[in-house]
Amino acid sequence: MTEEYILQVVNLKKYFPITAGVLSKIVGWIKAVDDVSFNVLRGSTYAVVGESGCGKTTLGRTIVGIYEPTDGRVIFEGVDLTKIKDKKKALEYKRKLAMVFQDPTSSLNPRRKIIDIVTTPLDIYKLDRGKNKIKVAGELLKLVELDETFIYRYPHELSGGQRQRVAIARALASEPELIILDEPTSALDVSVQAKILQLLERLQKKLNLTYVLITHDLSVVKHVADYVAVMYAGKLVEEGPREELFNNPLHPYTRALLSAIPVILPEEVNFVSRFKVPLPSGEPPKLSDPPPGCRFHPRCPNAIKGKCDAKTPPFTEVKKSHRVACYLYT
Amino acid sequence: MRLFRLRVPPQIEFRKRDVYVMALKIRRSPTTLLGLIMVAGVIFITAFGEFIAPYPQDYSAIHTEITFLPPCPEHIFGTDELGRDVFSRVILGAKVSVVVGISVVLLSVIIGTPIGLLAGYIGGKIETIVMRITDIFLSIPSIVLALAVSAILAPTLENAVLALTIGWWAWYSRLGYSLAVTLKNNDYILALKGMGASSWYIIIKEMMPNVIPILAVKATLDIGYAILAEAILGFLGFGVKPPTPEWGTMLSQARVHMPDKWWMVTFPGIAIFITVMGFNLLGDGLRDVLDVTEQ
Amino acid sequence: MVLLEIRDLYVDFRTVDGLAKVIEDVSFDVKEGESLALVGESGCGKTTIIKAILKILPDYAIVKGSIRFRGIDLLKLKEEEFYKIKGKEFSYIPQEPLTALSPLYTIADHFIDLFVSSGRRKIGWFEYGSLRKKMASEILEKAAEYLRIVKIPDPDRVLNSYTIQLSGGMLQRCLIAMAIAKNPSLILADEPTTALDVITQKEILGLMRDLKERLRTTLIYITHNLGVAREIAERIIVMYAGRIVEIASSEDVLLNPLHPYTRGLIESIPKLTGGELKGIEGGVINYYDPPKGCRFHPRCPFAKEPCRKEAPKLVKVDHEHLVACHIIGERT
Repeated sequence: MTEEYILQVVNLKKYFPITAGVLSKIVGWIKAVDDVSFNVLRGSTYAVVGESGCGKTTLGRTIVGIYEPTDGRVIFEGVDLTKIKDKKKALEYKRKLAMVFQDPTSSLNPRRKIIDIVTTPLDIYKLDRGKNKIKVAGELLKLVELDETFIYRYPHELSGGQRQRVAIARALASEPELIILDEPTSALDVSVQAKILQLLERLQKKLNLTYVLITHDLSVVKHVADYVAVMYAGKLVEEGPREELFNNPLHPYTRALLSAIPVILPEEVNFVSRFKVPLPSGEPPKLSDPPPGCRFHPRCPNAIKGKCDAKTPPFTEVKKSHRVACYLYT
Repeated sequence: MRLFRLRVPPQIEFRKRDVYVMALKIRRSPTTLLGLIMVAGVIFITAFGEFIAPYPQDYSAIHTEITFLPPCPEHIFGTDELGRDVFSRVILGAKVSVVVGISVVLLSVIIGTPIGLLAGYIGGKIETIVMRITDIFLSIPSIVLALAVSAILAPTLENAVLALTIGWWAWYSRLGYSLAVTLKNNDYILALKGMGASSWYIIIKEMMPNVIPILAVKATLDIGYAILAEAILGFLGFGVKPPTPEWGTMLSQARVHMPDKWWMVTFPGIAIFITVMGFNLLGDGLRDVLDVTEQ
Repeated sequence: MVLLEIRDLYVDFRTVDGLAKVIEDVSFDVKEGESLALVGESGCGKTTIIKAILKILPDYAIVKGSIRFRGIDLLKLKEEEFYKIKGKEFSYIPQEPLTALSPLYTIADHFIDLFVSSGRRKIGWFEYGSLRKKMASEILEKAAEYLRIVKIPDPDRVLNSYTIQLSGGMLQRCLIAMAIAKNPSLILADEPTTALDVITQKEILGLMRDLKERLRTTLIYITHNLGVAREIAERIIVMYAGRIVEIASSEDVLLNPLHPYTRGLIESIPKLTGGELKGIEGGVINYYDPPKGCRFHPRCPFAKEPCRKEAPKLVKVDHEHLVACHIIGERT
């Protein structure tokens, strides 16, 4: 059964310690990822949506291995990545998991040439493609529709969109099975974003890739995702297939989010006006000091006193494949 | 998109592109070029001193009959209290100063920087131990440390280098540390960490290119200061032992004869000045030249 | 009544690399009391225009043309005269609240500074100190009121806070409060909600709409997001590569876009109601050597001969709808 899921995140937690004082005593925790679980089918695009500060970036980085999880498991192709002790074996699995970062300016080493940047995974995973480095780099750039002569340039000589393509090329170098895309187009202009999204779509079909897309942009999600999960203050509050979530959002936060999207066409205005929700006041809580019970309750227009502020609602399936963490439904 | 400032012809899309760009940058900065020329000149003199100096024997020879000659056609810088040709001794003296200066900095870079980088990148206990040791060495003024060491050891070239390096490496340790701390949270480093790259790979292949421009500048400027420090050691009577020609010692011995026998002080002084200035100009421009993101 | 009249504006930047022709032949009117959105992607020059109006462009900027405020050409004014007008009539809301305010001073200090040095380029220490003493309590009373208007529930606490103690949304409200506190005729807002989350953004946009209604100020709002432009503005000016390509009411721009760039832009935006996503070919232009003729022609699917030769002028094709395009302009 676990074979159909290429990735299973099980009760994942990532807390960052807050220290104070000369001796760096731990005085609190930033609960960036607080008990998150979801499964990703091979070949699909799974989107995690949330505003900045909700912990989604930390989630992506913990899955990929930049951060060690505080608790929980990351099961990739049936293997628990958090439990692999042998470094060589760990690399074998890491090769199949790649990541594309949000800011193409900071995710590429400004003082290394493009050819070195895109072939880095080959060095790390000791992959020998049988051809020389120049040829491999050239092929990778062709894959992302960049001119091969760019291999001797430096990142600052490229535009934002071109840099992001280089970042994607680097992710593809190790022939991964799953790519985590952390806001891959947020730093780009809208016209460039469209082209990068098209590229990602083409690559997915061509190379049979699975994507975990992390973003705050619900419109992008509607276009590319198969499944959507909504994250708030370190926890998932809703999850479902794309059409279901957009047509029938259950959680008050999801509804508020959908109603707040600045849309441009009248059809969109109609679509969004179905969620005539009063805008939640206030702001997302600090991850170091989340409210008790449901994290959203201080801002929720439907909060039930005594229930929502006491215990965290369970994240359960209320319809087929549609999970919510809200006492309105459980 | 930042415009490509230097018009590199498109056919130069080849491997040696950055060398070409570096050469162009040097060419367009007169001060850097000047510094380069001065340094090249000094190094040349250091290497081939014996062949240039008109009286190489004046390394140690004594000619009591021509002492204190002012500058004249046979001795363009005059002679000193032992009749030795000042011009030759200045040229020969370059060797000590420059060799010591470059060695001290080279050793400090090689010893200090990796230690600092490692401490900064890995953090934790290693960071604490390494940096506290560094702090201890930094809290003692290098000259004082060097004097103390020189006083204990024999006055040879090697020991002079040792004496100065003991204090100097700590600066590079701190530099490496602060650079590592700054760089390690950059996305591109995290990306590599996520891929599973080893710490060594990250430090050597990813951090070094970012560290080298700053390092090169500091190192080049430091060579000037190391030469000065060495001269101070010599001036105070430490460092190499007479009759080895050394600019600082020459200044010290000539001091008492001021202001009448001005040539004994002036010319070694100018030599120090030109050398240090050359390295400073070069170091100044080096940042621009070596930094690939500056165009 | 036309509040602001910009004619034949050209802005060049003189740099080591040469002359960057950043703004070329920009002319438009701003009617009193309207809210106008200046829309374009990064680098198109929208911020430069605002800076030209406020005269806060760097030294190496060369500005040609005229910017008339209630008939007076701001570019020809002497410094003191300009500062008087600027202090009284213009307000600016910057994009990044954290960098716009000094971390060393409280919000109260900022308010006081706003009023004490209003309308003057320089002010001596001594004068500042004495004015401050005189006016402080009065200013702070008004400030608290303005903070309440922007829906900050506890103004006194906020007034005594430093910028790092407040969230982005909070800071942006403070900036809006500061902007309206002087009761300006013209508010220039530079993407103030870009750094905020979507829900806060909607709140702030709603707030700004209300305020504009109440105070009847004129608003020029810069954004790269057409959806935001639709929410806040009655009229939209679309810019590309330093030139205006289309001007129309928000409705017309979004439902009946004429310029190929505007259409490409709209087609690039993912819509909640589905539809194919299309980008625009090509990339940002080189301002040191811009394309001859229409600056968009290298990327335009309809480009023809005249587009390569001559830059199109803004032409009225419908009531209140102007386009700068040889192909479209001709057709209608």
